[in-house]
Amino acid sequence: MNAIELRAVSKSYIGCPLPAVDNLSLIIRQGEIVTLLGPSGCGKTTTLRLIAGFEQPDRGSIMLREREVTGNGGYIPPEKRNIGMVFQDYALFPHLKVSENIGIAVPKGERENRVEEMLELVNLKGLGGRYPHELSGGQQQRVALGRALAGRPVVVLLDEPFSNLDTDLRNHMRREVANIMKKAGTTAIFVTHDLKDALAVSDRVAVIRDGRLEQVGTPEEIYRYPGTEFVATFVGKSNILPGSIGPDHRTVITDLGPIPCFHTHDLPVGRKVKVSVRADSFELDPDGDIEGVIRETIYGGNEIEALLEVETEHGNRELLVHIHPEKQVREGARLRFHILPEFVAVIEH
Amino acid sequence: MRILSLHTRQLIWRGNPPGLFLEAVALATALVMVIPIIYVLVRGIQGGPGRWLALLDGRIPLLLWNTLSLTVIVTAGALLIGVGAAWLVNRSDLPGRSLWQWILALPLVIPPYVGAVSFIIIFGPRGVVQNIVSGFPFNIYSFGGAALLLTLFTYPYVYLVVGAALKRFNLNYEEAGMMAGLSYFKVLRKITLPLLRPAMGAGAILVALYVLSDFGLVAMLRYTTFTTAIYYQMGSFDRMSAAVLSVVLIFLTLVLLWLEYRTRRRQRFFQGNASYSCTAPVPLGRGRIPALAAVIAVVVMALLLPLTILLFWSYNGIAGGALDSRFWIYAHQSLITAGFAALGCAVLALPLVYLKSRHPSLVSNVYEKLALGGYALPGIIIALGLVFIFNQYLPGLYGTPVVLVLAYVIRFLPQAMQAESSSLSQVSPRLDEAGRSLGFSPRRVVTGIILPLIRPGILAGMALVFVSAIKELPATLVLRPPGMDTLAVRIWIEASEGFYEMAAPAALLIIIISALPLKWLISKF
Repeated sequence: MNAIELRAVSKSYIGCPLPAVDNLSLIIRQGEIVTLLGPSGCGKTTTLRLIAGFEQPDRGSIMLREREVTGNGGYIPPEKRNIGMVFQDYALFPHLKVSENIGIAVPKGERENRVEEMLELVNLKGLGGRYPHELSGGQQQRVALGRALAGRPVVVLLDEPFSNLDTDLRNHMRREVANIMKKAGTTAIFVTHDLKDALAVSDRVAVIRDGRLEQVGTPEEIYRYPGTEFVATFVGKSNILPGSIGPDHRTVITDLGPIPCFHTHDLPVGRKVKVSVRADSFELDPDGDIEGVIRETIYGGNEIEALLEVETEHGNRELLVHIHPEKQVREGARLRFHILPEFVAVIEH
Repeated sequence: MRILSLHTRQLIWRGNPPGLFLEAVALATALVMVIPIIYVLVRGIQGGPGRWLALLDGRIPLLLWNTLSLTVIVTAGALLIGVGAAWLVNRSDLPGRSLWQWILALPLVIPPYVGAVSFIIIFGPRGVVQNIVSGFPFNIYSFGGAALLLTLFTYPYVYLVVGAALKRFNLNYEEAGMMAGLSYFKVLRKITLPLLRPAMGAGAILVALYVLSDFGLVAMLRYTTFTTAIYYQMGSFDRMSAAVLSVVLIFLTLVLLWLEYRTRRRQRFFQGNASYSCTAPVPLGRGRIPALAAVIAVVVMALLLPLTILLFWSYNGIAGGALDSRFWIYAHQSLITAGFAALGCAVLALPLVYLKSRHPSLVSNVYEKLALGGYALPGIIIALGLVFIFNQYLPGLYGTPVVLVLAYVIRFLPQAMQAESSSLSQVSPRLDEAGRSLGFSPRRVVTGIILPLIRPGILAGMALVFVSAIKELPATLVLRPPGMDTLAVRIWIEASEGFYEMAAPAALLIIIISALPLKWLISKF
């Protein structure tokens, strides 16, 4: 069953020339965790607010569990949609205890049991009597999650849920939140601009740009086989090179020479394409086909990010490459690389 | 048609229209707040060229001179005392400065006309001083008397605003000046004072607005300004002339409000980042003793003297039976009317404040500005407008306590709005949305989430309105039902008939009640 279906949803704000959400269609299945990923201002939060019912779309319709909640002039207000929401600042009711926060949407009869269940699920057993301000950031987030899940919602919407946490806690909470979601078997939509959040917690990632859907896929698909130039550069660092499909369907001919590529969409030989080569795809190799001069290096701890200047028949080209941090590289050094085919993808256009 | 109107509603509310009931209440409140003023303006302009010319020929120039000269002198005096005191307690090594810091703000709780009573008791023609030194040269019933007393009871406005600015003041500017080799005096003149100018301007405008609107003090000192002229004109049932004079006074007030708006806009650019300021206070050297003497003199005149005299005369009065059953009836009537005004303001402010915060748009902004209308304008003008309207359209209600409470609400609603709005601004709109997503209807979001969270703000607003209503004199005098006296009215009547020991207990009680919400009053600045 589809938990959520967006059908050609568009939304513009008064005073903004460009639509915030532009003809967006997306289906999310029951029990699936999907992340809306994109730069700030791309319309992902608006999409979330449209699903929640805090905003109304100009066109298109939204179905929650096969029930139309907005579209064709109809509109069901947020309180009747049975959604759970986790806000960026958690939005816990400061005047209510943890257990009261969690139980607020649960019918009286089952409230006590349900609250206990939720406290256990989010690992807050025994803290039900506290007030939100007496909890740490991570604990507050768990309360928010428990509150959102308590009413057995059709879907839980999470708006940048990890952005208020510091790095350590963030890593921890990513795993924990994803686990809790899976345990509860709930459908969830995350909104984030952080690639690691998206890759870590989701079954599928939907990349959004300027209110339009760029690509949907599993984290691995999105990372390995970006469908557009935007996805390739936004999701990780990548080099975009023009070229054409090679005769064996397993290479792309570029001005750097043939580049091995397993993901050519079965395009005909000779078709002009662009190819995305991840900075991680380059490996130092004294016998490699690609030779260049290191122009700039940034030591990043788990890798060295380097700018490699390569001579081609169309003039010099700069490539972004990642080098293993144990290697010593000097600017000005002449080095050779070869390209691993696993992270090379043809971008259709 | 319905779809069209729905669409335009979406447009004017920027896609976020409020409930119709909420908007209707807010709109009705906003209109009630401005109708009396508009009515006075209309009647004043309808007064006819003959009446205008006659007044312009004689009364108006004299009143303008009286009012403006008083405003200028009092503002200058309040600036001098307020800025000086604020600098001394915040930046110098004045002995006991942390104690003086809050004592100097206390005169704010003495309503100027109550302070005037105590000064009349000492310096009046039948006062203490005249009894001892007959022919004492200082006559309190004069321009000088009015200017001195108004200055003493209004300087706290400047003192608090400038004091707050000094606390925020980025001391790096001063240190940069000293590094550049300027003496502290030069730093003060070239850096500190210019940077404080917006705060001084804001305080000065508060003082000037107060002087324009003051009725009780100038009336008790028999000095004629616009407010007293309007009052006596109404007393002689020449309401049209009263309306004409009101038009001029409204115009003066609007000019000041416009100035205030401009300084407030400028002030934003001037607020530096608050730095952690822990520099040593500026040594006063040989100036310490004179500075201390000046501070003590101000405190004695603006606080100790009035309080001592009122205490002494209250003691006499109570010994003579001033606290009879009638006194308690006045007190009771004061409490009841002020209580209803506080309640009314708290309830009516909510929709306006909620719209402004949760449905921001041009419309909610206009509603808010309309509702602020009655605040800056003198109470006597509101009273005049209500007299016109109730006489003409609702004569059945005229002369009932309803009109009086309505006048209080119109005058003091902005105090409740300010308190509730600062409280509501601390409640994140995400909480509303969390409530909605958890199944709360918009109404239940308000009752279950917002109201419990802003309760302190509502109570603070009610306290402020309550105190203001207890102190209110001109509208009370004009609008009270025949025979219904309040504490403020009794002070006025007893004092003008010279029964000071009868006036003193009521005056003292008003001061005590005013002191209760002082914490909120001061933290507002």
